[in-house]
Formats: sequence, C-alpha cells, structure tokens
Amino acid sequence: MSAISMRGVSYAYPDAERAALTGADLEIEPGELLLVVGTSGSGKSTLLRCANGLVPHASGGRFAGDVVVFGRSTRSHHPRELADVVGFVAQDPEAQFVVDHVERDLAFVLENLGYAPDAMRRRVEETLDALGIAHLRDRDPASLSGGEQQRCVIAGALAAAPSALVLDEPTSQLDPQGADDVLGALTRLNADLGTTVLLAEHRLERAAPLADRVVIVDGGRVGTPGAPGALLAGYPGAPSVTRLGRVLGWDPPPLTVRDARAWAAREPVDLPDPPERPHHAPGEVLLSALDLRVDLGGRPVLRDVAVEIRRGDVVALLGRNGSGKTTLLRVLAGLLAPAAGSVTTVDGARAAYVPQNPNSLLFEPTVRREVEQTLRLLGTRDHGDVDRWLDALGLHDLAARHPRSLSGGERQRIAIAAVAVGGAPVLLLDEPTRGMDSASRRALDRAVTQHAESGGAVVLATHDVELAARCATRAIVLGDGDVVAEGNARQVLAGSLFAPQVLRVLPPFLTVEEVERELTRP
Amino acid sequence: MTARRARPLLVYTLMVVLGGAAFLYPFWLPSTAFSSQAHNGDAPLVAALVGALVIVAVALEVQRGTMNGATVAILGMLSACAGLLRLLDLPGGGSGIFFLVVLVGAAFGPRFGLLLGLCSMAVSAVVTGGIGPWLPFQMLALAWMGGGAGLVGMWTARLAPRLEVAVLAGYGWVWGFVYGAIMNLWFWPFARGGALDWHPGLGFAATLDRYWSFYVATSLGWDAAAAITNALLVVLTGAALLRTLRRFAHRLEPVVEFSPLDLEPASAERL
Repeated sequence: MSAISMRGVSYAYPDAERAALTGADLEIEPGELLLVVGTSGSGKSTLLRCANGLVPHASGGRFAGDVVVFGRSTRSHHPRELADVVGFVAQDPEAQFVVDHVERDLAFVLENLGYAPDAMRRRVEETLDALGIAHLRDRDPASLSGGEQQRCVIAGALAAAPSALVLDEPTSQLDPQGADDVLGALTRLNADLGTTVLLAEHRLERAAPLADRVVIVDGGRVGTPGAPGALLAGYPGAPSVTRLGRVLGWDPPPLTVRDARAWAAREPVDLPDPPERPHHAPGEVLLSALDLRVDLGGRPVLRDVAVEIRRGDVVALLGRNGSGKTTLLRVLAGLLAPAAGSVTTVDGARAAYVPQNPNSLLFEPTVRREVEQTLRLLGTRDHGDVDRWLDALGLHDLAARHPRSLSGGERQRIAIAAVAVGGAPVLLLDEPTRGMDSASRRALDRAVTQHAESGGAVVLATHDVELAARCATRAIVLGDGDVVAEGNARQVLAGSLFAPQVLRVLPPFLTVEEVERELTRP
Repeated sequence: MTARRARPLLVYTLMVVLGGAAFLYPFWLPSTAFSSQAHNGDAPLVAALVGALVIVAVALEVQRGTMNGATVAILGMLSACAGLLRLLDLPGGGSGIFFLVVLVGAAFGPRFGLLLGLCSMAVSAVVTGGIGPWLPFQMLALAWMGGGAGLVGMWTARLAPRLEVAVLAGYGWVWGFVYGAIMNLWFWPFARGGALDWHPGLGFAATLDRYWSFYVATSLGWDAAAAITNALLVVLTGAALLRTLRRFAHRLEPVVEFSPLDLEPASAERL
C-alpha cells in the first residue's frame, strides 16, 4: 500500500479562474524521500497541502479526485484527523511556534492529541534527541538561529510520531549552515526511523542528492516521478553540476561535486580558459569607504574596512553569519553611522539598500503601486522607470497582484524593484536570493547585470556562492569584521573552500553558461 | 439554514435576548426591591451567563466545524488589539475600541462582530482596570454594535469601497450616541429623587420623555465627541483595514465543493 496516494486530483482556490492542480496522480511509497520541484506558483505547495487535507479543508475551493493518506481519504478526514499520521512543516520557521519555550512547544502538540503525561514525557525526550536539539530545550525559539528554529519546528511535527512528514521549502529562509543542519536531520529521520518524507525545495544543490525520487510540478501538472539525475538534467533549477553534466553529455548526470569530478577524471574536458567578464575594467569611482569601524553592543563588528565601488562593478560580499556583511551595507547606505572612518560618494551618487526581509518594505495593495510609491515619495512625476524595473525583474505579469499574496522570491524581487526605481546608481542588496526559485534567480541575475552594464553598481551581500559565480565581477570576503580576501571574483572564489560547484569540477570556469559558451565557440 | 448552523444561532439569539432583559428588567421591579447601588447584586450573574454563552457558542461552532482554529485565533488576536485600543483615550470620551469592532464586524460578519464586541470589552476591562458591575453591560452593548456592523457589512460589501467606508463611518457615528444611551440604562432606573430620574409607575411615553431629557442633559455632549471620534477613525483607517481584513475573510469559513469521485479527467480540466 502507498503511504500517500493521489488519484486524479484537480483543485481550484476559491474565486480562482484557473485550477492550481489538474489531474494529479502520485503514489508515495512508505519510507521514501520524494523531492518535489517546480517554480513558485507551479502548484508545488498546493500539492503538498493536499497530502494532509489542508487543501481543501483549510483553504476552501473546488476539489476533484481523491487523496488517501495511510488508508484515510482527505475527503472525509480533516487535517486534525490526520495529524497523527502526517506532520506538516512550512517555509517560515518563526511563524510556526505556539509556545515561547522549545520543550513546551513540543508538548503542546501532544497535549492536543490527548497523550497521557508519562507518554508525553517520553515522546518529548525522544523527539529532542531525534533532531539533536536537546541542548535547546529550555530556550525561547525567538533566541535561536533560523536553522535551529526550523529543526525545533520539525521536532514539533515529529512529536506525534507521524509516519510521514511533509515539508514545504523548509530551508528556503535559512543560511547554508542552517539548511545543512535541517536537511541532515531529515535524512537521518528518513534513514533511521523510516519516516516517509515529501519535500519541496528550491535549493537543489543540497536536496537532490538526498532524494530517492523527484517529481516536477509545472503549471499545475504533476509529472511522473523518476530518478533525480535523469529527471533534473533538463530542469532549469537543477544543481549546477547536473546541468554541467547535461552540457558535457555525461549520462547519468551527476548530482554531487564528487560524482562530477569522477566524470571529469574519466572524460577529461579540454577547453580554453573563459574570457574575463566584460566589466572587469573598472569605471569611475561611485562610492568609497575608508577605515570604517563600527561597534554594536560594545563588540567590534567592522574593523578598518575599506571599500571602493566603481561603475560597472558587481561586488559579492561573502562571509558567514555575523561577519559584518549587513552592517557594512547599512553603513554604505548611510543608515548607520560608523564609529570611525568615512563614506564618500561622488557627485552625490546615492546608494539604495534592500534589506533581507522584503516584508518590511511592502505595504501597497498592488505590485505596481508598490513600485510607484517610491517615486511618489521622491516627488518624481515621470513614472517611465516603473515599467523598466518591472520588466527587468520579470514582474510585469504580477503587476496587478497583492504583494503579500506572492511567494517569498517574488516579494524579494518586488522589494528590489521598489528600491531600484528610485534611480540610485549604487544598489546594495542583502541576501537577495533568499527564498528565490530558479525563475526568480534568473530574473535577478539579468536585472543586476543590466544595472551594472548601464553604468550603475551593485553590491550583493550573500551566502549564495552560485549567485556570486553568475554575476559578480569582484568579491570581498569578510571574517569577523575584517576583509580577509578581496579581488577579482574568479580568483577569490577559486581560493575558497566554499567555491561554486562548477569551479570545483572544471576550474577556472564559474558557471555552466561559461562552459557552454566555450563549447559552442567556433 | 442548515441544521448544524441552527444550534449556534440559538445561542446567539439567547445572548441578545438575555442581554436586553438584563438592561430592561429593573423597569419592572417593585420599588422596594431596589438597592442603592445599581446591579450590585445581579452583575456577577449577568457576567457569568454572558461569559458562559460565549464559551458555549464558540465550543458548539468549533465542534460542528463551522468555526476553525484560525477563526478562534483571529478572534483572540483582534480582541487583544481592540482591547488595547481602549487605552487610546480621546478627548470627550472617545476611545479607539469602537471603530475596530465596527470594521471587523463589517468584514467578518455579525457572528464574529458579536463575539469580538464581547471579548474585546472584557480584555479592555482587564487592561484599564475597569472591572465592575458595569462590565457585562458594556460587553453586551459593544457586542450589539459589532453584530449590527456585521449585518450592515453584509449589505455594504457590494458597494464601492469609498461609499462603504462612508456608510460605516455613519454607522459608527450613530452608535457613538446609541452606545451611550444604552449604557445609561445600566444605572438610570436605579437613580432616585432628581427631576430627570425614573420612578416606578411612570408610563412608557413618560419614561421615554424623561430619559430623553436626562440623556440630553448628561450624555449628549460626551457621546457627540465619541461619535465624531468613531466616524473619523473609520474614515481614516476604513479603506485599508477593510481591504486587509477581507483578504482573510474567505479563509475563516472555507467553503469546499467536492466533485464526485468518478469524475472524468476531461471535466477535471475545466475546473
């Protein structure tokens, strides 16, 4: 018997003209880890929410077909009647706590299911160990890092000992370390406890190697599940090494750097070095900072940092959490006064800052009005740039939508458009790819490159080395408030332990696109 | 009207009738039965009954699946918001609690408005320390205001947003006076001796006449200020709040349509 079986599931949200899912058939075997991939708005989340009856019971709407979860049909069973067999984890860890105490938050789940106190005690202990969070038991979730929070949330979903876990992009709001911790915990649960896992992810570099099977959702249609390598090779959001394998004709395409290096050793690739990026030649200085020192809460966050931003620059600002990336952006934007040092802009060239959390910028009822609002506040009458930025970031089709009803990646793009439309030559983007699917990432790449080519400059504070590999001309690595490496993006990334995938397989290439270009060069 | 709706509806009706009776019964009491302090004896009873009815109503609805966890959570959250807004003490007796109850009632319907009125007034009493025999009566008056806003909202939802805000501002303005007039009844039948006071044996028309004089002399000025505050706050915040609240309205009462199981794939496409 399948763990979860979906037959002919079609579903439309209330008042929606188009169906979110059409004729979905899917059998999920007990104990397997099935990875669901697809762009934002593809129906991926809807499919996941069908698995425990949230669709249609919590959302309303028109529902056809049948979903049977361990023998119970969601037509007759509400999510609360499935809570003992399916656990559900959503994207944003902060939104999923009930009690401000980790251990009690776990117990809350069990109380609702009517566990006896001694059984509850035992379940809480075991669940804390299963996720490796016993040391966090007395903490307030608000004081934890994103990765720790999300593991506590998974523990909450696991406390009732469900046979299946459904996770909707559990790592998309986390930094790489947090994402690794969460996916590691999931793999352990799947391997050791035999928990069936249905996982939706955008970051396939980490998730794809863990999956038994992959299924692609596109435009409300659920494809046929299959082996990760073969299915993902043609998928635009696939890991770089998988796409590289496809370009070079490696079959089956690799999912990990290790596999890809084995291929490269067996079938050596002989290509000339890629040309330098066109905008490596530095233009005029737009913004320069000297000897910046910032102390926050009595602790030095930046120590004698010097930065120069020139026209045509796309600077990747790398470094672990707490290394001072965000602080540096805020100082460059003039939002934070340094304790020492100075920021000089040429001819009053402004620097505009897009913070990590796009929600803090979004207040208007439509995407277009959100972007126009910046111009209104600046007193600009000419709204021609609104369409230019909506186009650049691929937002035109969403212009009439409510920003808060869109996905995290889409909201991130709206925030960027709303800030960039103000016309500041220097754009400072803090962790811009957080929560972005491959379509959003491509739109961002395009907009960043365009802005730099038309004489602006962009600084990207990011954990996403693949973003740096695709766009950056220069890279700066911060460590504990110091600049520990700086220079040409290719050189800086090549010397790093956290180099992008393609660089680790075929140095000095940074991206699949560069390899493709050399292959097709006459 | 489905059967599973009927029982909660009965509880709500009981709540309204019982509340009305609590306000009006002193008019029929024999004059000897009066204590010097209004409702000192029966207020805890009224409070307990109203409180119990709220719990019964919510429990019935949750059990029947007509109200889900999200609705209860939003009721709690909005009650806290409205309760805290009571601290916004504006000149002339205006307060921040009323406009929010009107707007939420209009967006989420009479049932929700009624419950929000009861709960938010209870929260506000804890916040302001204003717990006393008047509390159950304030809760009932605000509940009627919220429930009424729900009925108005069912009709105004079809109007253009600006017109709807105008109608609701008018509703808030009127209720500035109505609320004051209802709340006076909490103590008025118990006051004795003054020219504007009531005494047993006064006919209906004479009672109304005397109450009107009492109202104009003691309350009209204050209530006018409250009415203006209500209207002003609805005008200022109405469009944005209604838009935001209505985005959630359909999630509160999800309506599911199931197609038959043996549906042909071809017709599923049309869905």
